[in-house]
Amino acid sequence: MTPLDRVRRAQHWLAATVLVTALLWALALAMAVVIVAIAANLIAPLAPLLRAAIAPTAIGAGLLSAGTVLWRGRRARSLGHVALWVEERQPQLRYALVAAVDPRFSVAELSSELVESASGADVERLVDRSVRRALGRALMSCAVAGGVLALLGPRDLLRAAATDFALRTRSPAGAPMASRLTPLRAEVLPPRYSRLTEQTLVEPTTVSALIGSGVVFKGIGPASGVTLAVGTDVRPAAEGTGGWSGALVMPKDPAVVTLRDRQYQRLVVLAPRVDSAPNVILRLPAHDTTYQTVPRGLLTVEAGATDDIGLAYGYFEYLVSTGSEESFQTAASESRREEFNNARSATLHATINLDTMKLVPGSVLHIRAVAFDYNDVTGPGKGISETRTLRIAEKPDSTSITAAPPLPIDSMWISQRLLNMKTDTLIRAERKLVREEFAHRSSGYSNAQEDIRRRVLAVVALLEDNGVGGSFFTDESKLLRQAADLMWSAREDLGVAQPDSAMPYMKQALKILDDARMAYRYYLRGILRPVVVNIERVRLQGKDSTATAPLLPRAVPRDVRAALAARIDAAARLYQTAPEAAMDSLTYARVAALTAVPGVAAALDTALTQLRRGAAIDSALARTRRLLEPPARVIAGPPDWQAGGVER
Amino acid sequence: MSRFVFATAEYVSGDWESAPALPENLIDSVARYTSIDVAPVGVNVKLSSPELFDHPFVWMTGHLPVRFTDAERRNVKRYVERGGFLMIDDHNHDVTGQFHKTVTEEIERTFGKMTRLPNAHELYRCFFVFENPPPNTHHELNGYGDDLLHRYLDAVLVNGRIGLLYSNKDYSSEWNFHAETKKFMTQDPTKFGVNLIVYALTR
Amino acid sequence: MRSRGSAARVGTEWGLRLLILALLAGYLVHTLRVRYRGATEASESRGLAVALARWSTVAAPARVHLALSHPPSVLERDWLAALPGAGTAVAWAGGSLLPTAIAVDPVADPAGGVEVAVATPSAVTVELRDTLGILDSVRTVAAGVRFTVPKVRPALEAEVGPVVARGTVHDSLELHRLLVLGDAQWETKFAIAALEERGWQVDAHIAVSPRHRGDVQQGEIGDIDTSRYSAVLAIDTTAARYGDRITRFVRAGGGLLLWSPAAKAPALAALAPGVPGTPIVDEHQAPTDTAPRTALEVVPVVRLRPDAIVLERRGEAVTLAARRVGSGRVVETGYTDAWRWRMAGGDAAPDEERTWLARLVASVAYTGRREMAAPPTDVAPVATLIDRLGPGTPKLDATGVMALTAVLRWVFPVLVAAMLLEWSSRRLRGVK
Repeated sequence: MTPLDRVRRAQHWLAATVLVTALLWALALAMAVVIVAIAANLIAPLAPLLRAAIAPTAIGAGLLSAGTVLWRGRRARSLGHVALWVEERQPQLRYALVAAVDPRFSVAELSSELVESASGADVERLVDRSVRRALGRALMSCAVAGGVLALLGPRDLLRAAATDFALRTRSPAGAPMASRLTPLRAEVLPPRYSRLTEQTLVEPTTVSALIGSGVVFKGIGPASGVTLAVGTDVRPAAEGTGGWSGALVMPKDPAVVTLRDRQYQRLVVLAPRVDSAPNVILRLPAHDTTYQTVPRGLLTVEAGATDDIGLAYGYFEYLVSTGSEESFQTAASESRREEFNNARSATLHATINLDTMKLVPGSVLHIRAVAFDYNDVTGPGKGISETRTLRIAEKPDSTSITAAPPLPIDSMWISQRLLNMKTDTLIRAERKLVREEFAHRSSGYSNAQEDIRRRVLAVVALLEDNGVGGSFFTDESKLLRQAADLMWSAREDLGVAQPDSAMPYMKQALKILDDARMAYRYYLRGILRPVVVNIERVRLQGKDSTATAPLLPRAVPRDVRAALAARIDAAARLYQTAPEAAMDSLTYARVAALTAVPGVAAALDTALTQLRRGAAIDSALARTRRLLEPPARVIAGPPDWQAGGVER
Repeated sequence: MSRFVFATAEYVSGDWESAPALPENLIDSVARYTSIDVAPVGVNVKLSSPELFDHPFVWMTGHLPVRFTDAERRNVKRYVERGGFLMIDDHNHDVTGQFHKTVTEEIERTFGKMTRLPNAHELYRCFFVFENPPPNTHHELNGYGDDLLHRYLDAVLVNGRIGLLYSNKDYSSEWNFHAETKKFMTQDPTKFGVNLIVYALTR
Repeated sequence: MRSRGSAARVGTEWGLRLLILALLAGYLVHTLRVRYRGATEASESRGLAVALARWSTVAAPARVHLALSHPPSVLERDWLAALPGAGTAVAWAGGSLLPTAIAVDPVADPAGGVEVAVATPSAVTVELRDTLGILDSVRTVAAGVRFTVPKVRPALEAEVGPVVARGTVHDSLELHRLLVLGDAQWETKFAIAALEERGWQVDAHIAVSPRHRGDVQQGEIGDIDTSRYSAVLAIDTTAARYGDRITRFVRAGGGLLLWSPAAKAPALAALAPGVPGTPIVDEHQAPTDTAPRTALEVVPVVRLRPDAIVLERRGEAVTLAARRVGSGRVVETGYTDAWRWRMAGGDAAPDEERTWLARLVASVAYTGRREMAAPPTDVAPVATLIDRLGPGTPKLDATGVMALTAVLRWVFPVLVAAMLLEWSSRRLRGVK
């Protein structure tokens, strides 16, 4: 083999060695990078960004080292450099080999001593040694790195690194979606009747709106997989402009809407606001009244109405009741309707023409004002004022100056007394009057006496009525019967123009009526007779047998406050270790409190807000619990008896 | 210790005093059949006054429309919720009449809808046993009112107990007579009144 | 010739050597002293945990002085108590530590609750706390204070200055039924209502009529004994027909709540703490929220027995009195129309009346007790401290000991620093 051939062969070997060692060094360095990453991860867990950089760094390091090795071994491409490389290691050649492989000279042009000297170069041994050395180092490095890597166990870190790398380098279309529940908007559309404006809430935790309001939750991202659940009612979200949307109607009772997107969940409280019924106050008439005579003319009525949202219309209601005993008639009527056109406050006016009400003595007129709002969801809300009661006294000739209707015995007594006075006057004037005139007057007084007697008998009949078609004497009725008998005698005498004979009977009758008036102020409309039952006489005289049913125990009323307190206690134990679960639990407790204990709901809202911010909620929960439970109390007094003592 | 005092409700809007003999009659019946310490005379008590709460049993009746004042409504609600027993009887026995319409409206405004009392309710067995309750009156089919037999009583229940009992059966007319008259009767119609009072005192 | 700088350096090195020697000598003297006399260390409350660890491991002083600003924790106290066994005497001073003790007992009430008794010196402020914060705070007048806490807590603490006594309920109570005996009247009806609403199971005999089957019963009233009933409520003479059985029941441990009319009955008078006096009729005023029972009719309890205890008065009249009879307890109440409180009182009246009646029943009720697992407590921290370590030393000056300890702590690093400085200076000069 000529020196040229030998050098050429050496060149091939060296070039191959450079390539292989470049690969080996690339591998070794890449493994070294991974080893460093593992070591660093053991000291302090690497951030996802650093983890994602392991692979590219290792590859980069490998490429760098391979490039370095290739660069350093680039001279293996050139025959002359290979020959020089041999010459460096065998200086005794004195560039004979370089000259021998110089392509400018052919073999024939070279001197034989030169060729012989070049042929004597131990190229193979040098190449062999160099190859072994280079490959050995590279292989050793790989082996060491590989061994260390095997000991450290790179699989988990590399897997995580690959995931992180893939996540960061994956195109947006292929990356897993973040939660579609954040950001979240809620658009609240109040019921049309309320004429309130639409509201948009950003990142709502509570949506408070009128019952029947439309609530539309909106978020970004596709709708598929997003659901809204209120209790057992689960509905999927729909595609909307720029994202997904889910609509529901504000229910009557507080509830929680659970929004779900795969493993993500979000709770929003629905806090319905009730549209209150209008508040109506009757201003005129200002008081209940009893008229002594049937009132005539016009009566002004006025009422004020207010509403939290808006009034629709209102009117006055009138009830006129007339009758007695078992027979009553009631006529109902209304005033003209007044429209309020959604005003928050308004005044109703009306005038009642009492002449058209057909009022008679004994009638009762009820007046009240009514107002409505526009609520066509749960209503309409109807507000009703207090009722004014206007009574018309039964006896038009009452002289009573009190507001109460007159007492019949009083009026009979007055009538009898008046008659007695007139009769007395007639007796004194007998001598001055013509006989006919005297007799005429006496006859008139006889009729008046008969009138009074009939009134007494009417009262007697009422007193003696046992309610089942029979009659029964009472002490008072016996007394009044006596008076009636005396009146009969007086009437007879007056009828035959003998007033002086009638007078004693009339005086006695008057005395009886006076006694009856003072002892028994009998009045059908106002005071019940204080009849005293003789208990001892009738005690256990009843004959009918009994068979009492056993008493059934009461159920203990459900203590809503205690149940809420227990839920809050559970959340208090949970929030340190699982704040998300505690937040959900408190959210549901707040919804329960909205109905049962509204003041506690507000306190729970504060606790939830603090929990979302990551602050401690012990004091907020303590305040909430205090609202639900009776407070601790000090017991004063000697501690020598369990319980008892006077509480502070 | 308080004895049982029969109280009649006095309210502003109607003829609350329309059954003046009823208190004496029921007091008599309670004394005849039980050993309950009962006051021999009844009282009237205004629904709007604090005195209402001194009488956990109150009888209310009338013919005319009933419109509670705000004070009366507040008191009645509190009274029933605390354990009082308010008996309201339509003296017209007329479900088309204004007493029934107005008083049921007032009851619903104050308590919500009433509950129909089942005829097996312990009220009908708590002292005397009534086989076909509620016991009828002679007035229901007397040609006045609605001329119907009313087969149920309605109630407002508080924790399972009757707090307010409403009747269309016109017990006010049935029991509005002098107690002495009972000796002429083969059947004492006031026995159900004793049941009402025993129920109120024991449940 | 040596320069001035190098002379100074040599001088510094000699200074350091002298310092080292002095420090070593000082340590030697201290060690010898400790060897013959024993080490004395001191600590305050704040550093006690660290000091205990040191005394038990690295250094075992002959004596320790503690200046306590607050009682040590249970662990620290037990640890201190073990030190003498290891050769370390413990002395302490804690002038600011007020003796405080807490006892928590469950209340015999289905609605739950506990009664907390706190013993303290007088004229101190006691704060009652639970896990969530302060429940109540009061300045004591006498030697302690009692609280009722409506809901049971896992642990309750009474804080008096720096001392915190912690207690908990150790038992749960087994409540039986109540038996109510009375005529058909409002007091009977509303007493049963209040107790059932509270959660008690009630049997009752309500006398309506002496006729056959004329009375109203709730439950099966068989034997009256402590296996069936926790207490009997005798409202009027209806209970007299059960007189013998009630007497046996009470003597065996049962509870009896007697209304004045019932106390007049001969069968029950022997059990009563006193005799019913002349009724003080009420004026039908509405019971107020602040003093509801002053508006109620009351039959004062007079001619009290010698062993009777007055629980409540209205002026001179005794309204509630109690006594023990055999193993049982009897309370006599003069309030014959407590139902008026519920009906005619303020907004909170129904709850308040219910609670009041339930507490009266709880004060006499017979109950079983079942022990239950309870968190660790420290019911009387100062007393326990004295019990474990002996009484405190009134005057204790540990400041000198603490100052020396602080100094010695710095000697070693100074010594090492001096040695290093001297060596490095010498070596850098080229001198071995």
